[in-house]
Amino acid sequence: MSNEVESGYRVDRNTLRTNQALIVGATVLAFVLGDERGRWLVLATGVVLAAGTLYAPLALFQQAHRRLLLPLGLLRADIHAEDPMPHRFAQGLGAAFLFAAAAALFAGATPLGWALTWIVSALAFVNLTVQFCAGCFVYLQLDRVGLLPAAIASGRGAR
Amino acid sequence: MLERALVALALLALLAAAVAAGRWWLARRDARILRELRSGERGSGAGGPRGGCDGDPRRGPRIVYFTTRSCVVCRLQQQPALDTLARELPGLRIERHDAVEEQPIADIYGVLSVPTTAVYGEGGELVAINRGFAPAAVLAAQLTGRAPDLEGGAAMEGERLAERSGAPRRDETGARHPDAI
Repeated sequence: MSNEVESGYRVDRNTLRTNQALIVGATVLAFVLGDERGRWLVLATGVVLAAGTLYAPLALFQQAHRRLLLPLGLLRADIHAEDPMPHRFAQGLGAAFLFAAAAALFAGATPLGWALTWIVSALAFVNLTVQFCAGCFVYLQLDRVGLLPAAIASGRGAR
Repeated sequence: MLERALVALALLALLAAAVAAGRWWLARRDARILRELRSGERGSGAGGPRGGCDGDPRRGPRIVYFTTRSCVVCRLQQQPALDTLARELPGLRIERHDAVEEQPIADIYGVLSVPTTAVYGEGGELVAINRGFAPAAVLAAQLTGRAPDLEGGAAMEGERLAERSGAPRRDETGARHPDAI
């Protein structure tokens, strides 16, 4: 089991909280900025989430905690032994929603675009306040019925 | 822009209200489940909290522990905590259930997430249901009737328990205590 811990089965929940707070902030700000400017911020937020999903060090919002809030002593680490993959999956799902939202906004389907943006914002808000991660829930359900690729399933490395 | 800011504020307020309502509903649900389990209205049949065990299920301290095969927190935190507790309290019975494969029992305890632990005291009375990881010290406090300090004291108590049992600061899984990092 120690191998699991040392091979990355650790999650800093305050890094995730920072990520969620910044997602809420960015998406709400995008809405406030209006359709013309806001859609670019929606797209940028989607890019940040997608980059962080594909390569963890590129997760800009999470790096804000690791490289700024943590060194400045503004937000401590809150490390738990758990699988980070469901959280990465959830982030990827958020990115997919934001890309769809941006596409809708650029295509002129404004209500759909903002509805998708607000879904991401609402789920990040719920995760931040009650620690219910909807994307992780989807991951666990897909994992349970064996629909996840072996590389990201919970039993990865053991197969 | 002011109009959109006000709409955003209203939506955030609505979200906050929905979250508060959800928390309130969950707290009420937990209280109701606890009350029904204690009064015997819930799960008094076979396989329920008072059945499906060897010997007299009402006697002696026990923990009903719900996990799943894919639960990492269970494997890395809850199971070692229960192992520590079992060493500290030799009379303790731990009943392990898979929340997915044994859904009827999980439903009786209203299991929505794993790990979940239901703690029964010496007299067989249901003391508490912990939803999420419960440190060994918290479980020990519940079993012995002490009021657990859940606001940060749990981790400290966990360390004291580990020190008493001669365990190093790193636990059995090799996981370091969060504040040691």
